[in-house]
Amino acid sequence: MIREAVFAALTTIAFGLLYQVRTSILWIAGGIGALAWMASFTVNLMPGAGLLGDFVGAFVVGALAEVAALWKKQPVTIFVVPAIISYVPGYLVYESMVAFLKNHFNQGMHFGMTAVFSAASLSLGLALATALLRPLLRPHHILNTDS
Amino acid sequence: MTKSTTRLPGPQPAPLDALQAVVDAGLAMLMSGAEVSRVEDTMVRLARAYRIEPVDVVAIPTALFVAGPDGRSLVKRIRHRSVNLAVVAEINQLSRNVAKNPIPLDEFREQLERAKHHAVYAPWLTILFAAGAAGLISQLMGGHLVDFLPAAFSGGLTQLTRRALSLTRIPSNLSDLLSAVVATLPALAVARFSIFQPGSILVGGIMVLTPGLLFTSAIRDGITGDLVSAASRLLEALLVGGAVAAGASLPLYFYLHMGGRWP
Repeated sequence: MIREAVFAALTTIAFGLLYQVRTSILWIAGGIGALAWMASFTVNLMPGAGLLGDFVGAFVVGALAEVAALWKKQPVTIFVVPAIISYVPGYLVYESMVAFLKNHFNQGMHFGMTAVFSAASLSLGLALATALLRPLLRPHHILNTDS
Repeated sequence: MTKSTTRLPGPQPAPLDALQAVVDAGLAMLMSGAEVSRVEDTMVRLARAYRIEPVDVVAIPTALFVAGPDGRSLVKRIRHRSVNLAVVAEINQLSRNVAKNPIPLDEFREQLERAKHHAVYAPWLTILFAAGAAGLISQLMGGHLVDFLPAAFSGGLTQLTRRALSLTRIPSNLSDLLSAVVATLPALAVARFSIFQPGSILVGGIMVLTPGLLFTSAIRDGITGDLVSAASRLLEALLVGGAVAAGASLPLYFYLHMGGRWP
């Protein structure tokens, strides 16, 4: 778990560098990536967790990013985008692709639909985090009139 | 009749000039992939700082409409979109500074021009970062330590291809497809050796092309109720994803067809 969390933090930092995020705030993004990965890892230990791990990970990313954005006075996306990359179901899409290429249609559909649902749970996690935390953190702003 | 005094230092600029500068700022943010509500807020904040009121802004990913005072309005078409978080952050900061302490319009234009081309890291460095990112993410995607180097090579190569193609007039979707083709090559090259996990290497390489900002912006636009923008960004993210998947399957298809080893 620690090894994976360290890799998640390093991945977040590397993607942050790739997306031109300033070094001085990058370590926060890395921390968010590691914490979110630990949370989703813990959830995934539960039997039958399914895609709940992705949802929890995305929720933690979204929630911590809102806090960090308010603290550092930066756009929220700066923290969200590098940290969410580790959850992108790239491997599922790849497996579905290979299954289709090998003429295993059912398997391809299975992996493909799982990838779609995984992406949906990611967006649900991010959306809920923003929708819940924004009014709490910035009570003087209406949802769309802040930085 | 005396003209009303203004708190702006220096001579008062012609309103359309100021409006044009504000529109330029919004345009640069929108082209770098900022959420629509952020673009609209920034523009309104800047317009207020330069005493352009009332102003109304409508932004969608492909166009920007601004209605200024006395019936003046500006319409801009956006054809080129890219991903640059540095530009978004920089103009966001600039607008906050200007709202607090309005600087003369010329100075604002200068700073805006600098912010527009803001890149924290040099182009050759991003190739290195892409390599590191690809190598690391291959470890999260079920790869072993031996897969780090091929995945890093694949990521660097992908970023190099994408940067080179962005300088040409090739449409961005086609350039994503071609970059994905290149991303698969290192995985195919090492697939015959059983110590490597070619799947993790391949995924590491193509993750560099993930439309992460588009996806995030689409969700955030959806929450704030900017439905047109949310829907079009989601579509764009799907198109990019489709192009990447198509590009990656093409060489793999030929490889499997020729009877190559693939676990």
